[in-house]
Amino acid sequence: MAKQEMATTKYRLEEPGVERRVILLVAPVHDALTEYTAELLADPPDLGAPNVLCRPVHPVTYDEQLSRLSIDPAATEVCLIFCGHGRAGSLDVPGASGGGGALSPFFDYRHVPAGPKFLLAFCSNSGAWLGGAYERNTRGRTFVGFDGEIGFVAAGGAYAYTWRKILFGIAAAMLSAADDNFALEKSVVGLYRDALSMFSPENDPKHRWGLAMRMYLRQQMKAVSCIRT
Amino acid sequence: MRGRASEAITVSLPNPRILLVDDDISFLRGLRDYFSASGYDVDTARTPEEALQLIQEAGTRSYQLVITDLDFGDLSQIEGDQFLLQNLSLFRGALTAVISGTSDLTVDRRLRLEEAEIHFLQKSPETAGKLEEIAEEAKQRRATDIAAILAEVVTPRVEERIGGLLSIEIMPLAAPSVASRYADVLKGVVIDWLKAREDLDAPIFMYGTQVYSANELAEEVRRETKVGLAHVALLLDEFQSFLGKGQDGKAGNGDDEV
Repeated sequence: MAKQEMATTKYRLEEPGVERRVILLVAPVHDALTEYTAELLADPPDLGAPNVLCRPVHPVTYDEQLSRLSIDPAATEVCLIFCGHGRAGSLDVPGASGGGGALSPFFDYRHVPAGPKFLLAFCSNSGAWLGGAYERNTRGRTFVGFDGEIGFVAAGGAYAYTWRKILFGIAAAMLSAADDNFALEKSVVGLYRDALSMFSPENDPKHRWGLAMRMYLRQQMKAVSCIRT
Repeated sequence: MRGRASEAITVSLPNPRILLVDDDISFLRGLRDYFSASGYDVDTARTPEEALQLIQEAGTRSYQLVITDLDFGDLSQIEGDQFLLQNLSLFRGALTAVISGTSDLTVDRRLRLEEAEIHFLQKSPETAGKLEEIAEEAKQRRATDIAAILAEVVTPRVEERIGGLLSIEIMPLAAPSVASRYADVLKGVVIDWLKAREDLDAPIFMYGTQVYSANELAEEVRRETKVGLAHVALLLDEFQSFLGKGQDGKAGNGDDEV
């Protein structure tokens, strides 16, 4: 897949009557892992708001990305869905030297106070620090991330279908669930339980990586952190 | 990150379980305290009849070590060697011993005990040392049994033979040597499972910031890297969930897998 700085879909700020909410999909171009997770974000389902897919190749921050897209965070409700590499304190994009090793923070503690109303950080360790920062420093916001490293079966077919279903299922739950945290967590865990049923042992003849998929699904279900402030 | 991880996997087994049968309460308490301090879960009975009831309640393979007095005086007409010999099927896999405080056994009775591989001890200053040897042997035997059970699970497919793990309960606290051997066997299970994949070199496992093929992940497990040990723990967790023993607070025990 050719590297690209940004691909915009279904979103035109200049269109009259545009929704005041935007789904910002960020999938950095970094390595094989981010290529797989980027494919999960492609052609997203209708989440009730226009969406834009960004594929950063170079260092860029959340604020800079909004600016480049002419999105006014004060006037727009942003739902950020990030698929890439995460650390305890940041969601990362490629560093100045490009893909391979170096990472540069796209979203960290500095962006939390004026950050997106909804943030789904679909990557390892994202919930460990950022979740706490959301909890301490914001009101009326929603965060979903993971406390610890998480794994994926990086295959197509039923596997990619399942990850997409979970990914956008969580996004839909964030955007539509009732205000309380319990309802959100119940929805999210429900998505994982449905997926575990789909990959139950009796279906192993159909799914070559069924056991690995269950292993990672259960791990994510345990690590997921749902915070509504 | 491909270096050897500094932390070890935490896998441990239930304490070995021992059944002590003696009509002498003070001696029974002494033995109980001794074996409890040695890391055993101890059940006590004052007569063979009480012991049989405990075995019925606990299950026939629940005890790794059974030590009985020989003579129960007025409390029971059954003598310790008879109790063990008449119930050998209940003690299969366990170490057994008869301790006599006052009387020796006839040669004939001694031979019957030897044939059944039942230890015979006379209460003396050396008894504690001999009991310690027997207890250590019981622990080693238990580790070997567990290794055999797990090895059986490995082939032909872990997923299909997972039921073999039903015999094992994972609980905190065990002798380090036992836990270590158990962890080694678990590593073998995971490596065999990975090596049984068809596409050994397909980059299929995404974990943390890396992507691994089955071959590469098996190597991580073999070298006990952080990623490798994490996958051993994940697979163990999956086994436990399958068996309805998971500690998964969100999903409940044995949730949707059955």
